[in-house]
Amino acid sequence: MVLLVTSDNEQFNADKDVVERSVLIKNMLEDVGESDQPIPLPNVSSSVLKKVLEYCEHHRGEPLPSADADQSQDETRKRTTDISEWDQKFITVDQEMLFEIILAANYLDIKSLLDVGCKTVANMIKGKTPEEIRKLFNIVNDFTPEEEAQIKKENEWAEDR
Amino acid sequence: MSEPLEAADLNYIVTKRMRLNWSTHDADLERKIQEAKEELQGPDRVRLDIRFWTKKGVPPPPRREMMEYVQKVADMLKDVSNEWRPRAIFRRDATLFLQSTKKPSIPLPPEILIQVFSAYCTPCRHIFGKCKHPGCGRAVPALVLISVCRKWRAIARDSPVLWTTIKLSMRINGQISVLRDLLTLSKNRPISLCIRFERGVRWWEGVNPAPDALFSLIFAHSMRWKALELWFSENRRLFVGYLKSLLSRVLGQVRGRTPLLQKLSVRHLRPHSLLTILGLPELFSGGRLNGQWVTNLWGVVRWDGDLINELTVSTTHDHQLHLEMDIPDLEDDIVWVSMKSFMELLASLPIHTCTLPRLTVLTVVGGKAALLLPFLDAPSLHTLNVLSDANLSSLADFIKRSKPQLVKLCLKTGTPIDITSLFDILSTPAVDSVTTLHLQSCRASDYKAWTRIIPEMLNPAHTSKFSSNRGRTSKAILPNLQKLIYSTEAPIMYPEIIADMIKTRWNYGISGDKSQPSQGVSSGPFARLRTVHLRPAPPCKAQFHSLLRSEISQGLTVHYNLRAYFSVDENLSETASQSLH
Repeated sequence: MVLLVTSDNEQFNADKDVVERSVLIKNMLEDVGESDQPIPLPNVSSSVLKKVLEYCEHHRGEPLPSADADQSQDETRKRTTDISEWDQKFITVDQEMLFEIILAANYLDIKSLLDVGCKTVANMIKGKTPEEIRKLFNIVNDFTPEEEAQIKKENEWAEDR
Repeated sequence: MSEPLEAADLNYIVTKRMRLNWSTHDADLERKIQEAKEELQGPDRVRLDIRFWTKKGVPPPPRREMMEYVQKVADMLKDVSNEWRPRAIFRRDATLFLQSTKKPSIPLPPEILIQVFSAYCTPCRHIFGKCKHPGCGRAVPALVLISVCRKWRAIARDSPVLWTTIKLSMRINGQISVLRDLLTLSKNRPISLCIRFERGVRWWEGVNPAPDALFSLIFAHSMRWKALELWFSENRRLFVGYLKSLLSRVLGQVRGRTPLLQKLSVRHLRPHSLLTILGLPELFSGGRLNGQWVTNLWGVVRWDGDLINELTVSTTHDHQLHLEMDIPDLEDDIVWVSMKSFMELLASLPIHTCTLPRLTVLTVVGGKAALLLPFLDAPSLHTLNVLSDANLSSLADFIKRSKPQLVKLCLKTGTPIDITSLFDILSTPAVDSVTTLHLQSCRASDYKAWTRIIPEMLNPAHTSKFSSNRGRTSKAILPNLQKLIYSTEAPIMYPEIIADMIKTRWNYGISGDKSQPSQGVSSGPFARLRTVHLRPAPPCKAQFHSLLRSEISQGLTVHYNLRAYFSVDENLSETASQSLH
């Protein structure tokens, strides 16, 4: 078992093969060796770590993408926007939590979870106009009138099939 | 003093200003503070500069009082803001620089945003249906991203991978600069270009110099072309003349300068014209595929032949032949050709078989499309979907000729089933490797074949009956079958025959180790059937359930009417999903 300590000082015990889906934790464990020393995760809060561990637990035993993995395989994985049913259900959380999971996946270096998160955000954007995207994510339209005119020109030329 | 926001976050910030004079009354001050709070807590991230000023003709307060007053206001707003710049205090006025403490709405760093953008620009591919996202598949999806805000614009414009597929509509003259800009954004990456020339813009008559400039620009990037598609919507005779000279110029200029090109496609509204155009010898000068129109149709296919890994062939309602090719890293390619002309020419020309060495998935939709099968050879095929009233004997010939190692086989038919040819197909060695079989019929009157004969054929205990009729040695057909999807419009008249087939394949099937022969019922080893999807459910499910109770308790999975498998046919309306588990 591995002891993890979150930014809000909560402690989580998890199986080694579960937490080792995180490349960061795997490397840390390799560095520390056999030790009961808790692993601090100052960038991850307890509520997020709970979700991350749920994901790792579900995907326990699945092959990890190796560092020298075939690039084309990686590209193929990225080329599809499909998300498995379980992952889709798992990632159905509020926006704030979604972004926190993505940031945690990035920090902990869990490629597959980062991928699921990014695809989820991408799917949220798909089919939306820039204005709808701004509304969705609370983004301010900070273009000058000249820039707006340029954007209009660009969009005139590209058309939907 | 809090850290100023990162430059990257600045595009989320709106700067606002507010004025207070040194003698603002408490009631007024409270109202102003309330307004300031509303600004700072609003939906936007806000920077609020509060300027304290001295009324004309009134002496300014002493400096100490000014500082106390500014501090008082800062304290009143500290729960919703922080100071991002030191206060500026002068002789008569002062400024307090506040920013809202609200977090950015998308707190993702650029490197993650790029991943999101890449996923966004990935086209969704669905053979049988449209993508669930409305508007998905936009011509240049990244154009949406760069229209959201400055930060997104900067990140997206700096990511060449988002700009490698460009589809433009030539409606407006003189806007070459936009295309030039888009081509620059992809840097030195291979590009796929689709330029659509709209009807009614009389550019081909030489009135406007835009076409030449446009093609010069496109040709300048030919070393990076991965695909070039030209769509023409104009039918006038004059246009066809222009098109001929244009296309010969295209090939002339880029010959030997297209090391990456995998696809060249020219589309036109009128297939006949398209064929005539494609028939130009200079287009396919090496295409000695015996000559004429068909040759050139194959020329298009042949161009990609070594790379194609998926091919869908179907006929549309207006009898057009529809070839849809999936090529790695390319979007689908579709070619329409007049079916009548095509078939007439097929009959008259000594066409060679077209070999697609890397084709792994072939989907044939529509009976006429199946007529192509005699001309295809696909040795690497692992998935074959025939969604048509295809002639099963020609399908059997295709399988025998191609000798693929099929893993998935799907046959859907609306005509009376030809049992002999079906057995021929299923007993072909190329089908021995099939692990998933999907059989579907839309004919209720075929109930005997679908609920008695075919289940018996699939039952290794009865295979010998069929084999001896065909003068063959008896061996289990589909020895690797593990998943069966079985659907018919016919009522299940003989549930016990289906149950018996499932039981036999479960109980006598070998799990994993094929070195040990199975006990008895069949003369050859076969894998265990693990999953069965049935439509419709047998009339008495409980009884059916009881027939398979023991197998289900050991791990066999049986589902009824699963939409995922049976929804392709719109007539199939049953949606309930039930499992015997």
